[in-house]
Amino acid sequence: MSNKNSNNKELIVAKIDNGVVIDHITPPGRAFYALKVLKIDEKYPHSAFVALNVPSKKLGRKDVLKIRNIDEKDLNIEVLGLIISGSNVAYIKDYHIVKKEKIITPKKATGILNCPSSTCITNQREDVETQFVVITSKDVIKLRCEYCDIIFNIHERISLLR
Amino acid sequence: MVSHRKLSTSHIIGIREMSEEDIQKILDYAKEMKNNPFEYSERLNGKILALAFWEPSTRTRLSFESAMLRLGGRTIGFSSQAGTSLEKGESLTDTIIMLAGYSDGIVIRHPLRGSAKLAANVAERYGIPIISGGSGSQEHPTQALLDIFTINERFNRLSGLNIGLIGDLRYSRTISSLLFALSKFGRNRISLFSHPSLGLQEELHYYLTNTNLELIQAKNLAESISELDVLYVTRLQKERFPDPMLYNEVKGIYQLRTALLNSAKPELIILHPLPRVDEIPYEIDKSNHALYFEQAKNGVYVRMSILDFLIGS
Repeated sequence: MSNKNSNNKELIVAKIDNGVVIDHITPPGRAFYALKVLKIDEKYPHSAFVALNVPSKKLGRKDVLKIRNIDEKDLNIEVLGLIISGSNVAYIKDYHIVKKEKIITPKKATGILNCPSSTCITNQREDVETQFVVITSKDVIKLRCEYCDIIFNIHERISLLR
Repeated sequence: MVSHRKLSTSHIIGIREMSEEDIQKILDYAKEMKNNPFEYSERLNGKILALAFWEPSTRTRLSFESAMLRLGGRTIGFSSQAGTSLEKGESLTDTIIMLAGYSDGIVIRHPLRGSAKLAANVAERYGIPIISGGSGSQEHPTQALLDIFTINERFNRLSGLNIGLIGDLRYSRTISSLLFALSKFGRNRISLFSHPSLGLQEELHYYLTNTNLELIQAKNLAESISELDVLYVTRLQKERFPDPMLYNEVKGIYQLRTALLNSAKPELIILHPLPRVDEIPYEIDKSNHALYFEQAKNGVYVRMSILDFLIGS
Protein backbone atom coordinates (compact mmCIF):
# COMPACT_ATOMS: atom_id res chain seq x y z
CA MET A 1 0.00 0.00 0.00
CA SER A 2 1.21 3.49 -0.60
CA ASN A 3 -0.12 6.78 0.68
CA LYS A 4 0.99 10.30 -0.05
CA ASN A 5 1.64 12.37 3.01
CA SER A 6 1.25 16.12 3.25
CA ASN A 7 4.82 16.70 1.96
CA ASN A 8 4.12 14.61 -1.10
CA LYS A 9 6.76 12.13 -0.03
CA GLU A 10 5.67 8.56 -0.46
CA LEU A 11 5.11 6.47 2.60
CA ILE A 12 5.43 2.88 1.58
CA VAL A 13 4.32 -0.05 3.68
CA ALA A 14 4.89 -3.37 2.03
CA LYS A 15 1.96 -5.30 0.67
CA ILE A 16 1.27 -8.39 2.66
CA ASP A 17 0.94 -11.81 1.12
CA ASN A 18 -1.61 -13.27 3.56
CA GLY A 19 -3.53 -11.81 6.45
CA VAL A 20 -5.71 -8.76 6.93
CA VAL A 21 -5.55 -5.04 6.31
CA ILE A 22 -7.71 -2.94 8.58
CA ASP A 23 -8.09 0.51 7.08
CA HIS A 24 -9.97 3.70 7.95
CA ILE A 25 -9.45 3.37 11.69
CA THR A 26 -10.56 6.63 13.27
CA PRO A 27 -10.00 8.62 15.37
CA PRO A 28 -6.20 8.10 15.11
CA GLY A 29 -4.74 6.10 17.95
CA ARG A 30 -7.47 3.49 18.05
CA ALA A 31 -5.20 1.05 16.18
CA PHE A 32 -3.46 0.42 19.51
CA TYR A 33 -6.74 -0.65 21.06
CA ALA A 34 -7.34 -3.02 18.15
CA LEU A 35 -3.89 -4.55 18.60
CA LYS A 36 -4.61 -5.12 22.24
CA VAL A 37 -7.96 -6.74 21.54
CA LEU A 38 -6.41 -8.93 18.85
CA LYS A 39 -3.58 -9.80 21.27
CA ILE A 40 -0.95 -8.73 18.74
CA ASP A 41 2.29 -7.92 20.56
CA GLU A 42 5.99 -8.80 20.36
CA LYS A 43 5.13 -12.44 20.91
CA TYR A 44 3.02 -12.61 17.77
CA PRO A 45 4.98 -14.91 15.44
CA HIS A 46 4.38 -12.87 12.27
CA SER A 47 4.82 -9.29 11.12
CA ALA A 48 2.31 -6.61 11.94
CA PHE A 49 2.45 -3.07 10.60
CA VAL A 50 0.89 -0.12 12.33
CA ALA A 51 0.45 3.18 10.51
CA LEU A 52 -0.70 6.02 12.73
CA ASN A 53 -2.07 9.42 11.78
CA VAL A 54 -2.07 8.68 8.09
CA PRO A 55 -3.51 11.61 6.08
CA SER A 56 -6.80 10.75 4.46
CA LYS A 57 -8.83 12.96 2.13
CA LYS A 58 -12.06 11.54 3.44
CA LEU A 59 -11.28 11.16 7.12
CA GLY A 60 -8.58 13.74 7.84
CA ARG A 61 -6.35 11.35 9.76
CA LYS A 62 -6.66 7.64 10.21
CA ASP A 63 -4.78 4.55 11.33
CA VAL A 64 -4.07 1.46 9.25
CA LEU A 65 -3.17 -2.02 10.45
CA LYS A 66 -1.65 -4.81 8.40
CA ILE A 67 -1.33 -8.12 10.14
CA ARG A 68 0.28 -11.08 8.45
CA ASN A 69 -1.15 -14.57 8.73
CA ILE A 70 -3.84 -13.80 11.24
CA ASP A 71 -6.63 -16.31 11.04
CA GLU A 72 -10.12 -15.06 10.22
CA LYS A 73 -11.45 -16.86 13.26
CA ASP A 74 -9.12 -14.82 15.48
CA LEU A 75 -10.74 -11.60 14.30
CA ASN A 76 -13.75 -11.14 16.51
CA ILE A 77 -15.68 -8.62 14.43
CA GLU A 78 -18.27 -8.10 17.18
CA VAL A 79 -15.55 -7.07 19.63
CA LEU A 80 -13.80 -4.91 17.01
CA GLY A 81 -17.15 -3.20 16.44
CA LEU A 82 -16.88 -1.84 19.98
CA ILE A 83 -13.32 -0.62 19.42
CA ILE A 84 -12.79 0.47 15.80
CA SER A 85 -16.27 0.88 14.42
CA GLY A 86 -16.45 2.27 10.89
CA SER A 87 -13.17 0.75 9.73
CA ASN A 88 -12.82 -1.72 6.86
CA VAL A 89 -11.23 -5.15 6.92
CA ALA A 90 -9.73 -6.64 3.78
CA TYR A 91 -8.78 -10.32 3.90
CA ILE A 92 -5.67 -11.01 1.81
CA LYS A 93 -4.65 -14.27 0.21
CA ASP A 94 -1.63 -14.47 -2.11
CA TYR A 95 -1.52 -10.67 -2.29
CA HIS A 96 -5.15 -10.48 -3.42
CA ILE A 97 -8.18 -9.25 -1.55
CA VAL A 98 -10.52 -12.22 -1.20
CA LYS A 99 -13.12 -10.58 1.03
CA LYS A 100 -14.01 -7.15 2.41
CA GLU A 101 -15.99 -6.34 5.48
CA LYS A 102 -17.05 -3.13 7.20
CA ILE A 103 -16.84 -3.09 10.98
CA ILE A 104 -20.03 -1.77 12.47
CA THR A 105 -21.01 -1.00 16.05
CA PRO A 106 -23.19 -3.77 17.46
CA LYS A 107 -26.41 -2.80 19.24
CA LYS A 108 -25.70 -5.19 22.08
CA ALA A 109 -22.68 -7.00 23.50
CA THR A 110 -23.38 -10.36 25.08
CA GLY A 111 -20.85 -12.44 26.97
CA ILE A 112 -17.78 -10.78 25.40
CA LEU A 113 -16.70 -8.61 28.32
CA ASN A 114 -16.99 -8.34 32.09
CA CYS A 115 -18.89 -5.63 33.90
CA PRO A 116 -16.56 -3.06 35.51
CA SER A 117 -18.73 -2.76 38.63
CA SER A 118 -17.59 -4.80 41.61
CA THR A 119 -21.16 -4.58 42.95
CA CYS A 120 -22.72 -6.15 39.83
CA ILE A 121 -24.20 -9.62 40.24
CA THR A 122 -22.56 -10.74 36.96
CA ASN A 123 -19.16 -10.60 38.67
CA GLN A 124 -20.20 -13.30 41.11
CA ARG A 125 -20.10 -17.04 40.73
CA GLU A 126 -23.52 -17.19 39.09
CA ASP A 127 -25.09 -18.82 36.05
CA VAL A 128 -25.26 -15.60 34.06
CA GLU A 129 -23.96 -14.16 30.81
CA THR A 130 -23.07 -10.46 30.78
CA GLN A 131 -25.28 -8.24 28.61
CA PHE A 132 -24.60 -4.66 27.57
CA VAL A 133 -26.50 -2.16 25.47
CA VAL A 134 -24.26 -0.05 23.23
CA ILE A 135 -24.73 3.70 23.37
CA THR A 136 -22.84 5.67 20.73
CA SER A 137 -22.28 9.36 20.37
CA LYS A 138 -19.85 10.41 17.60
CA ASP A 139 -16.58 8.57 18.35
CA VAL A 140 -17.48 7.70 21.91
CA ILE A 141 -18.78 4.21 22.51
CA LYS A 142 -20.35 3.59 25.87
CA LEU A 143 -21.89 0.43 27.22
CA ARG A 144 -24.71 0.06 29.70
CA CYS A 145 -24.84 -3.10 31.80
CA GLU A 146 -28.28 -4.65 31.48
CA TYR A 147 -27.94 -6.00 35.01
CA CYS A 148 -26.48 -3.22 37.16
CA ASP A 149 -27.20 -0.21 34.85
CA ILE A 150 -23.64 1.17 35.08
CA ILE A 151 -22.55 3.12 32.00
CA PHE A 152 -18.89 3.25 30.95
CA ASN A 153 -16.65 4.20 28.05
CA ILE A 154 -15.28 1.02 26.47
CA HIS A 155 -11.98 2.64 25.45
CA GLU A 156 -11.30 3.43 29.09
CA ARG A 157 -12.05 -0.15 30.14
CA ILE A 158 -10.49 -2.16 27.34
CA SER A 159 -9.12 -4.79 29.73
CA LEU A 160 -12.68 -5.92 30.46
CA LEU A 161 -12.88 -7.56 27.04
CA ARG A 162 -12.46 -11.31 27.29
CA MET B 1 -64.61 -2.23 42.58
CA VAL B 2 -62.12 -1.53 39.83
CA SER B 3 -61.63 -4.63 37.70
CA HIS B 4 -58.52 -6.57 38.58
CA ARG B 5 -56.68 -6.60 35.30
CA LYS B 6 -53.29 -8.12 34.65
CA LEU B 7 -50.03 -6.20 34.59
CA SER B 8 -47.93 -6.27 31.44
CA THR B 9 -44.99 -7.59 33.48
CA SER B 10 -44.58 -10.84 35.44
CA HIS B 11 -41.94 -9.40 37.79
CA ILE B 12 -41.22 -6.15 39.62
CA ILE B 13 -37.48 -5.63 39.19
CA GLY B 14 -37.20 -1.87 38.94
CA ILE B 15 -39.34 1.17 38.28
CA ARG B 16 -37.22 2.28 35.33
CA GLU B 17 -38.52 -0.58 33.23
CA MET B 18 -42.13 -0.36 34.38
CA SER B 19 -44.86 1.24 32.31
CA GLU B 20 -46.89 4.14 33.62
CA GLU B 21 -50.00 2.06 33.03
CA ASP B 22 -48.81 -0.79 35.25
CA ILE B 23 -47.82 1.65 37.98
CA GLN B 24 -51.24 3.29 37.82
CA LYS B 25 -52.99 -0.08 38.06
CA ILE B 26 -50.99 -0.97 41.18
CA LEU B 27 -51.81 2.39 42.80
CA ASP B 28 -55.53 2.18 41.93
CA TYR B 29 -55.83 -1.33 43.28
CA ALA B 30 -53.88 -0.41 46.43
CA LYS B 31 -56.34 2.41 47.03
CA GLU B 32 -59.27 0.02 46.78
CA MET B 33 -57.54 -2.33 49.19
CA LYS B 34 -56.86 0.44 51.68
CA ASN B 35 -60.53 1.43 51.61
CA ASN B 36 -61.83 -2.12 52.06
CA PRO B 37 -58.95 -4.33 53.24
CA PHE B 38 -61.18 -7.15 54.52
CA GLU B 39 -62.75 -7.73 51.11
CA TYR B 40 -59.44 -9.15 49.95
CA SER B 41 -58.70 -11.44 52.88
CA GLU B 42 -59.05 -14.65 50.86
CA ARG B 43 -57.52 -13.56 47.57
CA LEU B 44 -54.33 -15.58 48.05
CA ASN B 45 -55.66 -18.54 50.07
CA GLY B 46 -53.32 -21.48 49.79
CA LYS B 47 -50.51 -19.44 48.22
CA ILE B 48 -46.98 -19.22 49.64
CA LEU B 49 -44.69 -16.22 49.34
CA ALA B 50 -40.93 -16.71 49.83
CA LEU B 51 -39.10 -13.83 51.47
CA ALA B 52 -35.45 -14.15 50.48
CA PHE B 53 -33.54 -11.43 52.32
CA TRP B 54 -29.77 -11.46 52.03
CA GLU B 55 -29.72 -8.08 53.78
CA PRO B 56 -31.40 -6.85 56.96
CA SER B 57 -34.83 -5.32 56.63
CA THR B 58 -37.64 -4.37 58.94
CA ARG B 59 -40.35 -2.54 57.00
CA THR B 60 -39.96 -4.18 53.62
CA ARG B 61 -39.91 -7.73 54.95
CA LEU B 62 -42.61 -7.27 57.58
CA SER B 63 -44.94 -5.29 55.32
CA PHE B 64 -44.66 -7.95 52.61
CA GLU B 65 -45.39 -10.55 55.27
CA SER B 66 -48.33 -8.54 56.57
CA ALA B 67 -49.62 -8.00 53.03
CA MET B 68 -49.45 -11.72 52.27
CA LEU B 69 -51.21 -12.63 55.53
CA ARG B 70 -53.91 -10.03 54.93
CA LEU B 71 -54.56 -11.63 51.53
CA GLY B 72 -54.97 -15.07 53.13
CA GLY B 73 -51.58 -16.42 52.04
CA ARG B 74 -48.57 -17.62 53.99
CA THR B 75 -44.86 -16.87 53.98
CA ILE B 76 -41.58 -18.72 54.26
CA GLY B 77 -38.05 -17.36 54.02
CA PHE B 78 -34.86 -16.15 55.57
CA SER B 79 -33.80 -12.74 56.75
CA SER B 80 -30.03 -13.11 56.83
CA GLN B 81 -27.39 -15.45 55.55
CA ALA B 82 -26.82 -16.91 59.00
CA GLY B 83 -28.02 -20.46 59.44
CA THR B 84 -28.74 -21.04 55.73
CA SER B 85 -26.85 -22.58 52.80
CA LEU B 86 -25.95 -19.04 51.78
CA GLU B 87 -23.30 -19.19 54.49
CA LYS B 88 -21.86 -22.19 52.69
CA GLY B 89 -21.59 -20.14 49.50
CA GLU B 90 -24.77 -21.17 47.69
CA SER B 91 -25.35 -18.96 44.67
CA LEU B 92 -28.29 -16.67 44.10
CA THR B 93 -29.21 -18.73 41.03
CA ASP B 94 -29.42 -22.00 42.99
CA THR B 95 -31.31 -20.37 45.84
CA ILE B 96 -33.93 -18.98 43.45
CA ILE B 97 -34.36 -22.33 41.67
CA MET B 98 -34.94 -23.96 45.04
CA LEU B 99 -37.40 -21.31 46.25
CA ALA B 100 -39.26 -21.47 42.93
CA GLY B 101 -40.09 -25.05 43.85
CA TYR B 102 -41.26 -24.08 47.33
CA SER B 103 -43.40 -21.03 46.65
CA ASP B 104 -45.75 -19.12 44.34
CA GLY B 105 -43.73 -15.89 44.37
CA ILE B 106 -40.40 -14.63 45.69
CA VAL B 107 -39.46 -11.30 47.23
CA ILE B 108 -35.72 -10.78 47.06
CA ARG B 109 -33.46 -8.30 48.80
CA HIS B 110 -29.81 -8.63 47.88
CA PRO B 111 -26.74 -6.39 48.34
CA LEU B 112 -25.69 -6.53 44.69
CA ARG B 113 -26.99 -4.56 41.74
CA GLY B 114 -28.59 -6.69 39.06
CA SER B 115 -29.60 -9.37 41.57
CA ALA B 116 -33.34 -8.93 41.02
CA LYS B 117 -32.95 -9.13 37.26
CA LEU B 118 -30.89 -12.31 37.50
CA ALA B 119 -33.43 -13.79 39.91
CA ALA B 120 -36.23 -12.92 37.48
CA ASN B 121 -34.39 -14.53 34.57
CA VAL B 122 -34.00 -17.72 36.62
CA ALA B 123 -37.53 -17.76 38.10
CA GLU B 124 -39.08 -17.04 34.69
CA ARG B 125 -38.17 -20.59 33.67
CA TYR B 126 -40.42 -21.88 36.46
CA GLY B 127 -43.24 -19.37 35.96
CA ILE B 128 -42.63 -17.81 39.39
CA PRO B 129 -42.76 -14.01 39.83
CA ILE B 130 -39.89 -12.10 41.41
CA ILE B 131 -40.45 -8.89 43.34
CA SER B 132 -37.42 -6.82 44.25
CA GLY B 133 -37.20 -5.68 47.85
CA GLY B 134 -34.01 -3.75 47.02
CA SER B 135 -31.02 -4.63 44.82
CA GLY B 136 -27.85 -3.01 46.18
CA SER B 137 -27.77 0.73 45.52
CA GLN B 138 -29.72 0.23 42.29
CA GLU B 139 -33.46 0.26 42.93
CA HIS B 140 -36.11 -0.35 45.56
CA PRO B 141 -39.22 -0.37 43.38
CA THR B 142 -41.92 -1.21 45.92
CA GLN B 143 -40.69 1.60 48.19
CA ALA B 144 -41.10 4.08 45.31
CA LEU B 145 -44.59 2.76 44.62
CA LEU B 146 -45.67 3.32 48.21
CA ASP B 147 -43.98 6.74 48.14
CA ILE B 148 -45.92 7.92 45.11
CA PHE B 149 -49.08 6.27 46.47
CA THR B 150 -48.70 8.47 49.56
CA ILE B 151 -47.99 11.59 47.49
CA ASN B 152 -50.96 10.90 45.23
CA GLU B 153 -53.20 10.23 48.21
CA ARG B 154 -52.44 13.67 49.58
CA PHE B 155 -52.26 15.76 46.39
CA ASN B 156 -54.44 13.67 44.08
CA ARG B 157 -51.86 14.10 41.35
CA LEU B 158 -48.32 13.05 40.52
CA SER B 159 -47.34 15.97 38.32
CA GLY B 160 -46.79 19.68 38.76
CA LEU B 161 -45.17 19.08 42.14
CA ASN B 162 -42.12 20.69 43.74
CA ILE B 163 -40.24 17.93 45.49
CA GLY B 164 -37.11 18.30 47.60
CA LEU B 165 -34.79 15.33 48.15
CA ILE B 166 -32.35 15.63 51.01
CA GLY B 167 -29.60 13.45 52.44
CA ASP B 168 -27.71 10.64 50.77
CA LEU B 169 -28.85 10.75 47.15
CA ARG B 170 -25.97 8.66 45.79
CA TYR B 171 -26.29 5.34 47.56
CA SER B 172 -30.00 5.47 48.22
CA ARG B 173 -31.83 2.97 46.03
CA THR B 174 -35.04 4.57 47.22
CA ILE B 175 -34.09 7.86 45.56
CA SER B 176 -33.31 6.18 42.23
CA SER B 177 -36.65 4.40 42.13
CA LEU B 178 -38.58 7.46 43.27
CA LEU B 179 -37.06 9.60 40.52
CA PHE B 180 -37.82 6.97 37.89
CA ALA B 181 -41.41 6.84 39.15
CA LEU B 182 -41.89 10.60 39.17
CA SER B 183 -40.36 10.90 35.71
CA LYS B 184 -43.26 8.90 34.29
CA PHE B 185 -46.03 11.23 35.45
CA GLY B 186 -45.58 14.55 33.72
CA ARG B 187 -43.66 17.58 34.81
CA ASN B 188 -42.19 17.70 38.31
CA ARG B 189 -39.51 19.96 39.74
CA ILE B 190 -36.94 18.16 41.87
CA SER B 191 -34.61 20.10 44.17
CA LEU B 192 -31.59 18.10 45.31
CA PHE B 193 -30.03 18.88 48.68
CA SER B 194 -26.92 16.81 49.26
CA HIS B 195 -23.26 16.90 50.13
CA PRO B 196 -21.16 16.97 46.90
CA SER B 197 -19.88 13.46 47.61
CA LEU B 198 -23.43 12.16 47.96
CA GLY B 199 -25.04 13.63 44.83
CA LEU B 200 -27.07 11.58 42.35
CA GLN B 201 -25.35 8.68 40.59
CA GLU B 202 -24.07 9.76 37.15
CA GLU B 203 -26.18 7.04 35.55
CA LEU B 204 -29.34 8.61 36.92
CA HIS B 205 -28.62 11.86 35.09
CA TYR B 206 -28.30 9.85 31.89
CA TYR B 207 -31.53 7.94 32.43
CA LEU B 208 -33.50 11.02 33.45
CA THR B 209 -32.42 13.13 30.47
CA ASN B 210 -35.33 13.64 28.09
CA THR B 211 -37.89 13.04 30.81
CA ASN B 212 -40.18 15.68 32.22
CA LEU B 213 -38.24 15.94 35.48
CA GLU B 214 -36.56 19.25 36.14
CA LEU B 215 -33.55 18.51 38.34
CA ILE B 216 -32.07 21.39 40.31
CA GLN B 217 -29.01 21.21 42.55
CA ALA B 218 -30.30 23.34 45.42
CA LYS B 219 -28.04 25.01 47.95
CA ASN B 220 -30.00 25.74 51.02
CA LEU B 221 -33.12 24.06 52.35
CA ALA B 222 -34.02 27.09 54.46
CA GLU B 223 -34.25 29.23 51.31
CA SER B 224 -36.18 26.69 49.27
CA ILE B 225 -38.54 25.04 51.73
CA SER B 226 -41.35 27.54 51.13
CA GLU B 227 -41.64 26.33 47.52
CA LEU B 228 -41.85 22.62 48.30
CA ASP B 229 -44.92 20.38 48.22
CA VAL B 230 -42.98 17.29 49.28
CA LEU B 231 -39.76 16.99 51.27
CA TYR B 232 -38.27 13.51 50.99
CA VAL B 233 -35.61 12.89 53.63
CA THR B 234 -33.11 10.05 53.53
CA ARG B 235 -30.68 8.86 56.15
CA LEU B 236 -27.03 9.83 55.85
CA GLN B 237 -25.17 6.55 55.97
CA LYS B 238 -22.07 6.99 58.09
CA GLU B 239 -20.32 4.08 56.42
CA ARG B 240 -20.51 5.81 53.01
CA PHE B 241 -18.29 8.65 54.11
CA PRO B 242 -14.58 8.25 53.42
CA ASP B 243 -13.80 10.24 56.55
CA PRO B 244 -15.84 9.95 59.80
CA MET B 245 -14.92 13.56 60.61
CA LEU B 246 -16.62 14.66 57.41
CA TYR B 247 -19.76 12.75 58.41
CA ASN B 248 -19.89 14.56 61.75
CA GLU B 249 -19.30 17.84 59.99
CA VAL B 250 -22.07 17.52 57.42
CA LYS B 251 -24.74 15.57 59.27
CA GLY B 252 -26.02 18.72 60.99
CA ILE B 253 -26.61 20.40 57.63
CA TYR B 254 -29.09 17.73 56.64
CA GLN B 255 -31.05 17.58 59.88
CA LEU B 256 -34.53 19.04 59.85
CA ARG B 257 -35.39 21.60 62.48
CA THR B 258 -38.84 22.59 63.62
CA ALA B 259 -38.11 26.26 62.98
CA LEU B 260 -37.40 25.46 59.33
CA LEU B 261 -41.02 24.41 58.88
CA ASN B 262 -42.33 27.85 59.83
CA SER B 263 -41.85 29.05 56.28
CA ALA B 264 -43.20 25.85 54.68
CA LYS B 265 -46.54 25.67 52.85
CA PRO B 266 -49.30 24.26 55.10
CA GLU B 267 -49.76 21.38 52.65
CA LEU B 268 -46.06 20.38 52.64
CA ILE B 269 -45.62 16.69 53.42
CA ILE B 270 -42.44 15.18 54.83
CA LEU B 271 -41.66 11.64 53.74
CA HIS B 272 -38.85 9.30 54.81
CA PRO B 273 -38.32 5.66 53.77
CA LEU B 274 -37.22 4.95 57.38
CA PRO B 275 -35.37 4.01 59.46
CA ARG B 276 -34.45 7.51 60.55
CA VAL B 277 -31.58 8.18 62.88
CA ASP B 278 -31.38 11.82 63.77
CA GLU B 279 -32.26 13.57 60.51
CA ILE B 280 -35.85 14.18 61.68
CA PRO B 281 -36.25 15.07 65.37
CA TYR B 282 -39.18 13.45 67.23
CA GLU B 283 -40.91 16.80 67.76
CA ILE B 284 -41.62 17.02 64.01
CA ASP B 285 -43.62 13.77 64.23
CA LYS B 286 -46.47 15.73 65.79
CA SER B 287 -46.68 18.27 62.97
CA ASN B 288 -49.24 17.94 60.19
CA HIS B 289 -46.38 17.81 57.73
CA ALA B 290 -45.07 14.48 59.05
CA LEU B 291 -46.42 11.66 56.91
CA TYR B 292 -43.66 9.06 57.16
CA PHE B 293 -45.50 6.61 59.38
CA GLU B 294 -48.61 6.78 57.19
CA GLN B 295 -46.23 6.25 54.26
CA ALA B 296 -44.84 3.11 55.94
CA LYS B 297 -48.39 1.84 56.59
CA ASN B 298 -49.28 2.39 52.94
CA GLY B 299 -46.51 -0.08 52.15
CA VAL B 300 -48.83 -2.90 53.20
CA TYR B 301 -51.62 -1.90 50.77
CA VAL B 302 -49.27 -1.26 47.87
CA ARG B 303 -47.59 -4.62 48.46
CA MET B 304 -51.00 -6.34 48.77
CA SER B 305 -51.85 -4.88 45.38
CA ILE B 306 -48.58 -6.09 43.84
CA LEU B 307 -48.90 -9.57 45.35
CA ASP B 308 -52.45 -10.01 44.09
CA PHE B 309 -51.50 -8.84 40.61
CA LEU B 310 -48.52 -11.18 40.36
CA ILE B 311 -49.59 -14.22 42.39
CA GLY B 312 -53.40 -14.08 42.36
CA SER B 313 -55.29 -15.99 39.72
